[in-house]
Amino acid sequence: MKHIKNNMVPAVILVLGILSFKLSGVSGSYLAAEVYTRFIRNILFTLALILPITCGMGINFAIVVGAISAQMAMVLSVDFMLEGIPALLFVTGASVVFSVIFGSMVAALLNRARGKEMIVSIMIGQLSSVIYQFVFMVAYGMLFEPKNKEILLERGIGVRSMVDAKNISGVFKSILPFQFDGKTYTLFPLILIALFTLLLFYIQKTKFGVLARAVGTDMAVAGKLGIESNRVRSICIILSTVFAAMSQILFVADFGTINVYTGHLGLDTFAAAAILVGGASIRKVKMRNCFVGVILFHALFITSPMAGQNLFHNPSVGEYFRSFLAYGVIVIAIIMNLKTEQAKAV
Amino acid sequence: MLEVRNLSKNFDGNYVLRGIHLKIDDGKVYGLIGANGSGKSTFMNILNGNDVIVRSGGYEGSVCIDGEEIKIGNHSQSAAHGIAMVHQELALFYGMTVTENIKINHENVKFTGGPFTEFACVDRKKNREDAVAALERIGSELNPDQVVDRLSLNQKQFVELARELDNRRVRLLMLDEPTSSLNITETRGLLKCIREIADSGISVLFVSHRLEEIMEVCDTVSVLRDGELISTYEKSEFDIRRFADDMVGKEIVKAKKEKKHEDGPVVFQYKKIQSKGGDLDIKKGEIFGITGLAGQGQDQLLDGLFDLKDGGCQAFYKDCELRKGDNQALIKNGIYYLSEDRAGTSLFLESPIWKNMIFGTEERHPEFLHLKSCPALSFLNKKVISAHVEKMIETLNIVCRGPEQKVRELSGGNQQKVCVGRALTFRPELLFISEPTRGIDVYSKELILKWILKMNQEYGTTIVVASGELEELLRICDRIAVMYQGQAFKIFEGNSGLEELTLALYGREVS
Repeated sequence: MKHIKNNMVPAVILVLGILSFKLSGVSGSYLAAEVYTRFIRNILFTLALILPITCGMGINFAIVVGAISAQMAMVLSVDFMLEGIPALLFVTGASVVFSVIFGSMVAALLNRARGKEMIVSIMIGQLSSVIYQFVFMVAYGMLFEPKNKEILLERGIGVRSMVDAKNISGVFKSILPFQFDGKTYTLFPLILIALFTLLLFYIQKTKFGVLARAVGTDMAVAGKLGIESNRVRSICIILSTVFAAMSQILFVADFGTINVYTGHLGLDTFAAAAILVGGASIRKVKMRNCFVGVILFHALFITSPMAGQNLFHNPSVGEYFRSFLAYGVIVIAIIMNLKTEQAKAV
Repeated sequence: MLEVRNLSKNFDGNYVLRGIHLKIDDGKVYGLIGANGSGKSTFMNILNGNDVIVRSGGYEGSVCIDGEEIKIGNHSQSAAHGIAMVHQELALFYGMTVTENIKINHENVKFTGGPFTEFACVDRKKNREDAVAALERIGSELNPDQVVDRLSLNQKQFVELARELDNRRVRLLMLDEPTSSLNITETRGLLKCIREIADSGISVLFVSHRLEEIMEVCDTVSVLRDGELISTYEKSEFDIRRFADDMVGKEIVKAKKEKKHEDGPVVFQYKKIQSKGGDLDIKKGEIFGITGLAGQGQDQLLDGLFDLKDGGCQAFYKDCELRKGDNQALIKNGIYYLSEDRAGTSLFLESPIWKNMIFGTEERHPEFLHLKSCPALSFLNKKVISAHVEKMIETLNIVCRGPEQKVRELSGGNQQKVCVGRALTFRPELLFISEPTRGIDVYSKELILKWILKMNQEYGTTIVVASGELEELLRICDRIAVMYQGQAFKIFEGNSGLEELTLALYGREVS
């Protein structure tokens, strides 16, 4: 009973998920396959939120910047007409470089907005998205001459909205493929996810991990004891941005196409929803919250439109269910977390 | 070992420390005393490489160790030269264990590799061993795996001390009011420990407002006043009266309740708290003291009522039961509480003095508002508020740049005075106040005690004071309850002897 009380948010979402699954009428194998796909595409975004929460900055909605870094690297790889392993190495390297540079800039801004990091990170995400869209929509073809003219729109200025990413997805799909429910999936992303999870787990056990936790617990005390809070927070944000960039590579590799102008949008909201659904709060998080959250949230996300449709015999109500989930779940989880924290404080 | 020459510090051209010269020898305990805001904390913050000092332009003058000048640009440089500090306001990370707190920022790691050392795995076993060794060094048997949240104040103080001593290179240990939250027994233990630390060759810079402790433990004492070094005394020259005179520069008149309160009706009751199951009655217009050794239940009586701690017992005000934690109702009834945890629960550290001083008092002071008929929509009347706050600053002798200064920038004692200022502004019918003179210099202490007496005698406020300072309680209280094992062991009249009270702390009576 105490265990359920301590995990009220995931417990409630689990019940909702089971109800939604029953009402939707989808098969277990369909749900499992869909959840697997979405798990691969989203788990690293959610893991990217751990370090900023640990060091007291709340949910880093600026992970969008990480996704943008990866999108840029991937478009460039297509532009440079790279294929196979060289393409993958280039994309990974360039994504890391871009995300470290942009992550440092985000960190510098967030360090100036102490106490308001979450709202500022949303604004940074929006702004960087607009700048990125401007660069690829206007500057590409006008200021930079691409090697691969095929990625440009017919007018010769701006990159196409959809760019084929088979140079990367091909590599992924060729390593450890398996059949399930009549479709081909691959285990390679799962191995990468395991590696990144281990890396994050390791970071938490290091001296840096302890300092991040200390800064998140009390920044004033950290200052008194000579811990350079701003530096610790900056590194957390940079690592978070790098994780988000890696996640976007996994996403695109699985999806097969770079959605140049919209591929990076909304992922921050879904990651935030997933981590909260998993039982984390904006102050406290464990890695298991991410795994539980991503599975529960996406299971509900997949089944809810069909459940709504079957229940009300109206497809638009089904879509409403999906929208409600993405945003409503964040609000519900925050309220429930606050209640639990207040109860614990008393 | 350490010598400072012509040390000065200014904030925006305003000198808070000027031309300090002093020398601390190896293995000696050096006392530094002075009124609140006299520059003691600034002096230690300079040596500690505190962020505030660095960000405000550093210091002037020189600091030398073994004759060589050193530069202290940050805390790490200070620590590297073997300077350590235990802060007046506890600097611990709640939610982390004793070991983690002791080893913070100097954890043992499994490999070292230049800039990547930070990303080396923490050696938890070695950390635990170090923590146990540091705790043993100060004679503490704390469980190193325990989370610090639930430790008593003195145990937390020991964790801080252990953390600083864990630095093997420590040569100068600075203690800022280490005994301010300890009772007599705990203080004795700590003083003994400080002596042992000094005997092991470490120099100790000891700051305290308790002059008796300074007399007992220090080898040399320097007095600071208004940022200047007034005098330095060797052990053979120690004289408590000279210390007090040098600190304040004027004569101190001790506050004392002259006329004892005559029995009035009972206004407040703690149910079944007396040792024989009786109620603890507080009578209208009296000053009631509560004391006890740490962890004997006195905290629960006050903090419990205002829901700041678990526990607490059934309480009645004017025959109506008070709901625990319904602070709004308590305040509406004119009941006010100043907790001992001033930084945590009594102050808005980032807000200016004036906001802290008038917060929540608008209902009782309609003159603070322009629109008295509609308080919720009214702007504050800054003119009236400023006049009131400036008067309070002067009356309570708060050392500050003015009402607009942030409370965080004030010294600990002056922060306490801001709390007292708010209570005075609120003018409650029943005031609960915990450790009102903690961390306050001798002069200001008497000022605050006088104001407590004034509130009681002129405004008729019933006051419940929880304090470990028995001598002060005896001077101002009509009656004093001594708590022992969660119950009021005995209630003494205000004119009782100190010996009787001290024995009662241990659950014993004069035979």
